[in-house]
Amino acid sequence: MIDVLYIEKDALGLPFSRKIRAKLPHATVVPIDRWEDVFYRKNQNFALQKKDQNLIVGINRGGFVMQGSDNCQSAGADVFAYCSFAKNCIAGCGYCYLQGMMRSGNLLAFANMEDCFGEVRGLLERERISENRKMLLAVSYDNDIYALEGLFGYIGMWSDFVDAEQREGLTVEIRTKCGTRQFVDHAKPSNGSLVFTWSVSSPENIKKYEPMTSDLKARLDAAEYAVKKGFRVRLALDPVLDVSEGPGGYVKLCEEIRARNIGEKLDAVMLGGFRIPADYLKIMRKNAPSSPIAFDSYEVREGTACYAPEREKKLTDLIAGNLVKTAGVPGERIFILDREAAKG
Amino acid sequence: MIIIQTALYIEAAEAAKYYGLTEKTDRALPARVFTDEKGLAAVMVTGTGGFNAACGVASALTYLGAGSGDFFVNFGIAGAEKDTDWGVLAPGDIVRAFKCSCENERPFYPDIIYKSPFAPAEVVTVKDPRSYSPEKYACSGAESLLPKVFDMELYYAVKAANMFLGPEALISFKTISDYAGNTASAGGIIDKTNAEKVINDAWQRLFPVIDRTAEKLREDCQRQESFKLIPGDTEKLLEALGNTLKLTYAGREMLKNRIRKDMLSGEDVNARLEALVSEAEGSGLKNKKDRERFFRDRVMADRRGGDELD
Repeated sequence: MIDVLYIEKDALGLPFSRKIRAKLPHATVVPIDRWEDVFYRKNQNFALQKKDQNLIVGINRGGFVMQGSDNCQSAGADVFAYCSFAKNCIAGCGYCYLQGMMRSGNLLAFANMEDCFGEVRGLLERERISENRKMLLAVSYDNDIYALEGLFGYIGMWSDFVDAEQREGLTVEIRTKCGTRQFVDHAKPSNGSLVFTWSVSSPENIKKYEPMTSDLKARLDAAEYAVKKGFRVRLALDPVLDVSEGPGGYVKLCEEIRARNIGEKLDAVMLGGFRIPADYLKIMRKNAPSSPIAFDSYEVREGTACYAPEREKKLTDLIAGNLVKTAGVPGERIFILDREAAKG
Repeated sequence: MIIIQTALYIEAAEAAKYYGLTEKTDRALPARVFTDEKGLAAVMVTGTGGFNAACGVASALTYLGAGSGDFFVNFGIAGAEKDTDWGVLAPGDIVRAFKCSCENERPFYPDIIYKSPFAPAEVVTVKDPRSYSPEKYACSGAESLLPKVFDMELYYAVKAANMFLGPEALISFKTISDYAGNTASAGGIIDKTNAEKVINDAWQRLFPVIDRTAEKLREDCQRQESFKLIPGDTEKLLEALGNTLKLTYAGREMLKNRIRKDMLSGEDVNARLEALVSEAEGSGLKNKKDRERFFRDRVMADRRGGDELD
């Protein structure tokens, strides 16, 4: 329940802000000069703010689109970009990098989406994105926009954007842990540019490390629904966790995929071991003191805390094998994160 | 600890009485400070004006050793605007600052995590509320969403307090004393004869809210701290293992994180540590190489690679 709505004065008149105010009629509206004044205050308590989140609506003046990180999956795209127009998430996953990256636990949403779409259009032109030069644009790493579609309506906006652009080679990926099927209907599958990716894990991991998210069944049901609606659908087993429960839980996940008979229909399945910038992990240990994952032992390679290569490979190979054998996913559609290759 | 700050003694007296505080005389601070023996509450009277507020708050919070779990409350009288879009605030009404602003400075926003029944307001800190003119602080459009009240200290008090405490632990209540602007034309309501009553009435409404909020904040902070805590017996075992293996500071931190992880996963870490200590002592580890091998293969066994973060 959002009780306080901080809105930049310059954003108050925008349709996005008006819609948010209408959806939260009981929230106290605090007009603010700049979103940074609230989001970057000194000495904030991330965990307490996260427990009772407020919403900041701002104007992004610094640019929306960044180059995708080597730590993220591009699933074979030539150009990998990352677009951030909403920050922080309503879930509280024990391994989430946001706990180490964000100074505030409050939600932040930008209202000037026209500027965002303009920037993406410019990038598409500059990079000459076409059927022969593909681009993956990840739009929901810093926030589960799918889970908050009822409030923000970003999925509808992105659907309209790709529909209007009709750009071959563009893939806009919306990643989520939400099992609400109806939000799929906010988008149109028309040109296949919009991809829904459900982030999944073993049922045990979901229960233990992903509180406040939908269970595995609901997520896979939603994925199945999107497949039936004609969308390109992906699954992300990312991060794969090496936890005391062992990798056995991932076999159950593969069985659940098989039970829905969607393995062959998936556009891609992406795997990657847990990794996080080392500086973020240090902050995460302060912000998420109850997360066992934050206190596991990691190697630091080029500034990233991650599992030792053989530990990670053993896990991902085992799961990839099961995805082929049990879930029926074609091997060529399984992408395992290789940070070295991504750099090369 | 509940730490209350006011500009004037008349604003603080009722709180000092309610919490059973006595004035500290054995210190040299630019503020009057009242405390109790148990360290549950304190009141500081910093004097009027922004400069006095900032200096008084900073020095008193240093003196009190303010930190996690402490709760800072600013209280005082404030002037309201007379006619605005949001209605009229009457003398004696209480508002809570959702926004603290000051001319030529970036506003400060206390976190509104803990709820209270008082109306939200923007508190504008000015040099002299009597110099207020509606034209200068026009309430229209965006500005009309929050009522404005005017005081002489809040902005500087909270900015100073934020050096010590998070925005979730900072709260400000104002009781309306009169209308900002020229009191002759705007109509001053509260004077010396009835000020004490209005202030004390406000405190009676505020005490339960302040006590409840402080309790919730304390509980939340204790819960957060409890995750970081390693029990004494486990600490001793960690120390024993660290000494046996002659671990460096970084090695001990790696070990501590590993044990914290196991604790959070619900494992019996003491049994494991006890076994490791006796195994290490009985293994006849002769040199550094032996100890390093034991640490890598036995202590961090299933965590190949180790943690280079620390």
